[in-house]
Amino acid sequence: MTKYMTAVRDQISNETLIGQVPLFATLPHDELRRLAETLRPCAIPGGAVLFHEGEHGDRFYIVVDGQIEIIKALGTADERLIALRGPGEYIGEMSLFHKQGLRAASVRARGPTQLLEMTRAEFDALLHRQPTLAYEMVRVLSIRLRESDDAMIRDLQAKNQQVTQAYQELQAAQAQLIEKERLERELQVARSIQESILPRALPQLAGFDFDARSLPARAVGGDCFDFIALGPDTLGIVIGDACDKGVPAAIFMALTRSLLRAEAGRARSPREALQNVNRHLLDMNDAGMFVTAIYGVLHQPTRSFSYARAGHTLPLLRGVGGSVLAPPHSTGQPLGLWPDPSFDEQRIVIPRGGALLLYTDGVTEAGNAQGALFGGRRLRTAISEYRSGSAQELCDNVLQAIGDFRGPAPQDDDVTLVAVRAQ
Amino acid sequence: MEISHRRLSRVDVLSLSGRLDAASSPALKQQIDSLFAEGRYRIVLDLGGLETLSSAGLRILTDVRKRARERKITDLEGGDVRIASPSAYIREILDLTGFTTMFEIYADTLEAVGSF
Repeated sequence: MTKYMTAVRDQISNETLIGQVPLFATLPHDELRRLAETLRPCAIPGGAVLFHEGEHGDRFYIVVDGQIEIIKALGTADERLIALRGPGEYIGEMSLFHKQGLRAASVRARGPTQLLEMTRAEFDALLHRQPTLAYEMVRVLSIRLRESDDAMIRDLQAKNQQVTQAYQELQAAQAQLIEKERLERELQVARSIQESILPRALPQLAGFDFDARSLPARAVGGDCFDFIALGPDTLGIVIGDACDKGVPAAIFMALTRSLLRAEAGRARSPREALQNVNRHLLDMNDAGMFVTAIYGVLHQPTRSFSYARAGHTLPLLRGVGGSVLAPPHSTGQPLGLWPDPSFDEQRIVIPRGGALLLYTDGVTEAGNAQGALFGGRRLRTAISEYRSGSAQELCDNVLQAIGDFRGPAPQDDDVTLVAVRAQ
Repeated sequence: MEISHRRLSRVDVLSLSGRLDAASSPALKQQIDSLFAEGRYRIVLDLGGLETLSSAGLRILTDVRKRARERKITDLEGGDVRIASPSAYIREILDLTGFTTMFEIYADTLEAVGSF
């Protein structure tokens, strides 16, 4: 503080200056002269902080020229200007009355300012000599206190508004969160419905074991599989893939599956079943969705699988020695698009100890972080490599290979496998 | 997936490279929609740079082809979406999914454009 203070000889005599201050206006001339001799004039530049809130202070100042800012919480987020003092007013008086003499606020010059400085000792002496001055001080003090209170109340009101706004924003965010949770719950429900629609148990057929896995990319998927009991030694086997993923595909797939189940019992061949399903789908389908599928009948005594393929990926047959072959194929078109689609009809025999694998294109299209695709060759390797164990081991092996290949990359498309092993 | 567009006098050629799947098919649909909006219904899809084609991509292709063909441009000719330069792998996909018989497929873009 002292560095800003320079003793300045002003052309206006101190006496006149002091006499202009309303506080001292009633003082007798000899007192004014006495004060003039004791009060030190000083000038401080604009922006200079005269003293800081919380500092010890024992000086009292009268503003002669310029303006002084009284600031609470200077330099913090809560900083606020309480008052301005101009010529004829005084500052620093609170600490003269405060026992520890701590400054109640920070004080900063707004522009170049001239002040008269008085110490506490000088002030005490003045009050002793002029006791009526005390009344004037008390009056001014109470006004100052009220100013401070008013400022505080305004602050509280502003803070209250901020809190109310923050609360409203919080409520909105909470509403969004509740909505999101509701959607997630609905998806979970959809997922459990879909899971409950899938066959609960694997079929039992002497001389065979089966496994099937369906892993949706999202909560619900557009793939499906089914096992349909047709007779004591025949079993209908279905794999399907709706042309999309998520809820719309899942609904369309569920529809197709139900239709196929209904037709399987009475159709004379897999082709006829698919044809009938196709006709129903055309009646219902505006969205241009389609389904690829394989529907076939496994005949236990001959180990033959006679199927009709509607645009779906080819089945793969593993021989005992580990060879993996796809059967020959003709044109097979998806369901739900055209009135008279061609279906690829074939009959294959599963050798003893061999296995049949049906899969959806989520397998071959599984991508890794480098952008490569799992592809048909890796699939055949995974099938070939599995030691002739159960259908379950075959599925485990294929899924493991896909998982290892994909690594940290997310699952892009629904993955479904159906494996049939002839013991 | 990247789509580059070349406008010829009667036909628009869209060359695709990368993957046509559920993620990228909306962009293709949007581009073709805007061609339709301009009254351009003769489109050749050059698939020379296409790595793979998923069922979601096939769905978009079926849809735009249907809409193009519904549009009669003059009494004599209608719109269409035709395919050029599919790789062996893409051809196999089109074959296995039975879409080969649906689309007119040409060995190169020149032939495809000339077919209109």
